[in-house]
Amino acid sequence: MEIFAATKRVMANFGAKILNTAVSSVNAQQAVLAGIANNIANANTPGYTRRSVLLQNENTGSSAGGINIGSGVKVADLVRYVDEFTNKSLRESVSDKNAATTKDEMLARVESVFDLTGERSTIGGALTDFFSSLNDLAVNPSSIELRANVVQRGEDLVSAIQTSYQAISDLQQEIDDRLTVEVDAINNLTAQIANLNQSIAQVENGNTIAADERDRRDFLLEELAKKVSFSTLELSDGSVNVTLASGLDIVFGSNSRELAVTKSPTFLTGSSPALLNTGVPSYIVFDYGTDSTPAHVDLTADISAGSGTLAGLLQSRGVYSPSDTSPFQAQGVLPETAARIEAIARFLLTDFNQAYAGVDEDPGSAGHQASTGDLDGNTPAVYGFFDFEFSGAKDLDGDGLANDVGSHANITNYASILKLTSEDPRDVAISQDQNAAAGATSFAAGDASNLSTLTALAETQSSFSVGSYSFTGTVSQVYTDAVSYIGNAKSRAAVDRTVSESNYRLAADRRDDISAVSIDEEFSDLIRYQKAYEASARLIRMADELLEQIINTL
Amino acid sequence: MTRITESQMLRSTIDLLARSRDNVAKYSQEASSGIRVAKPGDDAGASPAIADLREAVRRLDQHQVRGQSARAVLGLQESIMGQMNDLLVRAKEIATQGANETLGANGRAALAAEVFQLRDSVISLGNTTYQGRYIYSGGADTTPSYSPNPIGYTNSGSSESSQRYSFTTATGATTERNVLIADGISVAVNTAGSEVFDSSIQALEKLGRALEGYDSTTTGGIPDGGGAAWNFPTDKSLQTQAILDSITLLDTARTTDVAEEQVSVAGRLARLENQTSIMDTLKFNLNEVLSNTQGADVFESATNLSNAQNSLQVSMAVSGQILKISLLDYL
Repeated sequence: MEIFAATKRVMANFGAKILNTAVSSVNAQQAVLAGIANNIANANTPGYTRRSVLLQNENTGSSAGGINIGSGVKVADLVRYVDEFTNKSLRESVSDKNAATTKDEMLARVESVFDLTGERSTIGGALTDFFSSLNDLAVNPSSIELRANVVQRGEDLVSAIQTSYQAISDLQQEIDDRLTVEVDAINNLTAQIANLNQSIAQVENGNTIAADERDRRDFLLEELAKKVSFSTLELSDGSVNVTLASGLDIVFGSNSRELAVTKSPTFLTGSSPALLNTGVPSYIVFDYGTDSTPAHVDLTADISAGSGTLAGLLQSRGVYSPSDTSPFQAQGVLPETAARIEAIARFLLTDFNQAYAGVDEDPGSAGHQASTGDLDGNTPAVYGFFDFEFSGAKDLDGDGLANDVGSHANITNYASILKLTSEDPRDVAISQDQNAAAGATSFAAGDASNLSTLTALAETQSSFSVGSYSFTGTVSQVYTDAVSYIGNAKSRAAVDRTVSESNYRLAADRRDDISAVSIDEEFSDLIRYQKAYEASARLIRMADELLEQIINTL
Repeated sequence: MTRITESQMLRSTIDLLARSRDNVAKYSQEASSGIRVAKPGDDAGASPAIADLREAVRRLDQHQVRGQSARAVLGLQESIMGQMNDLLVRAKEIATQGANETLGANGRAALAAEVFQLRDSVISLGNTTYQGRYIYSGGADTTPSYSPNPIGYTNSGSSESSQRYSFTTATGATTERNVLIADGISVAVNTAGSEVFDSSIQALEKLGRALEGYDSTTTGGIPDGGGAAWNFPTDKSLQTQAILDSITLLDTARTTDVAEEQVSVAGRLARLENQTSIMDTLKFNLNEVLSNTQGADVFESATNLSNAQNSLQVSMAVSGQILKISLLDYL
């Protein structure tokens, strides 16, 4: 009787134990299944990192006959499959990819200015046509039709220079405007990251992993990396500091620092160098002053030297040093391409105009005496054939020579204000003075003696110097040099783009290898845990039967 | 074992398709336009050469157009010189006839009329215009090359024999025009009228006046409008001598000035012809180099295109198959 009672007690104990174990298993498997469900639900969520619920065997310490069998299972932890180094290299490759893509896209737009198919008018073609129209005039110099053709080809050349220059300067302006948008986006992202830092620190203080917040933060960091390159440091409380190349922390703990875009930074002592056309360049700065008295630190050069969309934009727009005086001193593809166009415009204004006006017969006397005349025997002005739109004095030193181009303080470029002095075909001055006496002139309407001097300019080796660009060669070689420069810049950008895209793919694959959800995997797990769940449920029934049997025997 | 997730497969599929599509677009563009390098970045190494070649071809075209204008002007001058030659030959025939002393003063005077007509023809040749411009007036091409000197011959019988024609003194009348017909090569398209017609006109005027019975004096070799009337029959031998002198002057004018100009014009025309054929060859070669540098090999592009299309189709088929497979189908 005693033994029977003892056996019944043990059986009842075990029945209860099995029931408890089964219940713990049902709960645990359900937790795992919920985890799998969450993974599947977020399979396509950007930034989501796969998680799994980690189970641990339970041992409450109850033993049967001194043997500890174990008392079921419990949910031990939530694991986030993430590798910080992989994420870091992914961010770096995202920055590189965005810098290269941005630059490639910008250059593709500049490149179209230099058409090689011969279908669209280019500066090179306009130069050839213009010099050719002058040569044509030699057959019949007093022909109004041929003279009108010279004027027309001159206008074509001016418009080719202006539209090419305009296309480049418009793009530069567009990029400059876009900096504000990009910086706003950066400020928005850093503020969100700082907020998440705070939430993560709070949540993880209670030893729970803030998986969703971390996912969101990783996603935002990747978005930030698209704009600008940075380094990160995770602190012990789980928050992340974001530091720019210049050493400025834009996120530290729960705080963020806002970047600003300004056209009048406090570090600028003199006047700002101009953009290619009008206006002054924007600088990306950090303002450490107060609202009333701002104090700016220039971050532009450091950001441009890094990667991300901002760097791609800045490298295209050109980085201006506050000490620059000319828009062509900026280091960047657009200013350097525009410098070549400007060099051609300046050549027309100086070298061509001086050859057009002829040789000063009487250099010692006041005022320039031109040795060429037009159809009506009038001598050309200082800016005889090509002129520029400017209301002030053009010939600064009044020496009657068109050599003041480039020294006007208020003119940043001549390419956009270039124009013809006169559109009247009669005003084309190609006759040379037949009167040898100084001060006295005598012209023949049908004389084209000065043409050879003008047309020889097409083959003359000259020195071109604009901003940091300098070149020696013929004027059409400057154009070829521009084609070569933009061609090399564009193909380099295209190579960078291909390389960075493939690097990005590798990095993204590595990240996904670790962190992405695999539906197949989740489904096999689903089946596994479903089976375990079914078995646990069956256990409950079995335990129930067991207990029932005992009760029935009583 | 590497985990391959759906997102990786999707990304690589998208990449594969995008790259295949890129290739199809690129090669179809190449095959349809025949141009491999349309923008500088398409081939940075070849671009400057292409830009140079394009301009060289453009210049050649323009040289050829100019060459045609020059040829028209010089062709006109060549025919003028032919006519001059004929006129001078005719004048010599008249002079030879007039030199015959069996002819009386009246008979000689009758011949003078034809000589002055010949002189007028020479003047009108000297005043030839091309596109409204006097071609022998150099830079002063709106002024006729020859016009009657207001101070005619003194002691003249008929009105014609009193007129003396001289070359214009307008500024620039002797300037030469050079037309560029190839890079660095130009050809003169005009000659000052004085170099071609003066000696003929002077010889004809001397002949005409001699036939009419007047002497012609010169200052520094140029007729000065002076010259006394001869008294016949005393001065008949003087008249005959003057007619014989005119024959020598006519010969000199024809063999030196006119023939020289004829040879010179013909030489320039030959140079133009020569240059044209050189430029044709050059243009052909330049175009060939240009198409080799810039153009796409159409067969290669077509082959590449069909390869790219095949690979796009294969990528699509493969992607379709792979993305379709899911464990879900088997559960």
